Amino acid sequence: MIVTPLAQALNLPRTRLFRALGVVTALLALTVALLAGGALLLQQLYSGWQLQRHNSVLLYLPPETTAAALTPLTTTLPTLAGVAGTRAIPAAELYAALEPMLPAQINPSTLPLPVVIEVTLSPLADRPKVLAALAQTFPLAELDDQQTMLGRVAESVRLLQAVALGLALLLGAILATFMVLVIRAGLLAQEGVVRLLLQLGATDKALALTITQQTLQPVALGTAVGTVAAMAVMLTASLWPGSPLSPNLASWLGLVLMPLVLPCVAAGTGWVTSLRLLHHHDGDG
Amino acid sequence: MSAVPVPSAPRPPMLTLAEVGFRYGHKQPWALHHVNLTIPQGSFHLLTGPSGAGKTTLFNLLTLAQMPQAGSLTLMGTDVGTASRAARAALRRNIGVVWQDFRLLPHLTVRENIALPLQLQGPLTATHREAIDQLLDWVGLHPLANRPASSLSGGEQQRTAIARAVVHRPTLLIADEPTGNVDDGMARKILHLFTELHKQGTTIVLATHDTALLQSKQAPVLHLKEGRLLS
Repeated sequence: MIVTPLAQALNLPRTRLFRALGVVTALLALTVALLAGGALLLQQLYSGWQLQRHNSVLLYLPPETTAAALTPLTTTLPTLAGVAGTRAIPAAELYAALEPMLPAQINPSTLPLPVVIEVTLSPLADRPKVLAALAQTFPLAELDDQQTMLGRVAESVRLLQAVALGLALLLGAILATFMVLVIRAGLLAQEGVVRLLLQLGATDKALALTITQQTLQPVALGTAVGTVAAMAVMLTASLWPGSPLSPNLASWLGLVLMPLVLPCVAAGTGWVTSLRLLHHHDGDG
Repeated sequence: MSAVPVPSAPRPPMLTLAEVGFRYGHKQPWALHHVNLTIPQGSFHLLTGPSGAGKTTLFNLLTLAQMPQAGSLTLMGTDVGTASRAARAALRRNIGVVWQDFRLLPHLTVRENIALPLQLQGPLTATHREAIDQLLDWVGLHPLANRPASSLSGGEQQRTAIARAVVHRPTLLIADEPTGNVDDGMARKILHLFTELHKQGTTIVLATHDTALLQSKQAPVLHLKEGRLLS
């Protein structure tokens, strides 16, 4: 690293507060990276699930529907425009899905369950038209196109993402506050040096640049350490046996790039704070 | 045929103080009051006065360490009261200052301290390095060039401060008791240096209590008393 004469002259003391800047930044970067990676992973999981759900409609037929009555229905279904496939969900699968939600004393096999047919729509199907055709063809069937549930899940995902963004902003504000404290303490300790350098003709911008560069070193190091740690956490979580997580490129990019906001916040805060504090020096003060 | 002497044009002012006043707090008495002063370019002035006369305050105003609270101060054609901070910084780069308390950076070496005004103007060139070496020789500090300023005696620090004040060939040199901590031989050398700089066009204001210097130096004396300029 090149040490400029100005940096040599105005060397902010490496106090406990200054050293803590690196550690604090590493923790913030780890959290921001995981929040960003997590939010994008959530989006990825939701998109995959939504794609799967969006293309299917569940048909509920009365429990008394017999196999004989069912056969002509299942043969008619694939002939409808926009229908790509059908699958009668086995009763065992329905029982298994219900069992965790029922009290222990109730045996799900004793319940009168409807006959459920999952209709897969072709990707280019005109959804309202297909639904209308299904309703017309099977007047006794109850249709569940899962849009209400999809809407609720989408809302929840958006809420979680907003919370993650809010937390990231809060962490950025914490770093900015820390930067102000570090620079204020550093300039207070070096007040005599600052006065002398201004007296010798150093400009505010040159001094602010020197101060910002010095404080950015621990911030950059902390960001790198925090990001690498977050990558390790994400990798471990995705490679864990049975883990449903398989982050895509966007999730990884979010995890790596989002912490870079921290050095930007630190640079901006450092620059503005230094200039503001330097204004109190000089002959005006 | 003999040449007709042409009267020389009056030199433009290096600095002008018009009705300048300064006080340390609104309820405090004026440390300087109604000070009017014009120092022409290339002149040599001595500044004197008893303790509490306002000498330090005037020194601080001339070095732009403080701004006048009344009146105006024009330096090198720029009204410092209305100049931007960047413009004031540019003005300061043309001023050499010797403070009574030296104000060296203790963690820097003698050479680094002397080089500082040059480095604030840009990277050091070979010419700059040569000038620094010459000054180090001249003030007798070459053997100590790489020692930190904190390890120097009072006299050595004063010589370093003088070298730093003149290394960038300032157009205005303001010195506060520059011979206060050195022996008679070095004091003469310093005054000789100042005289040489003056001959080369540097405007010099030298604050001193040294009566011998005041009597020996043929220069206008600015006498301050109770915050007012008497002469």
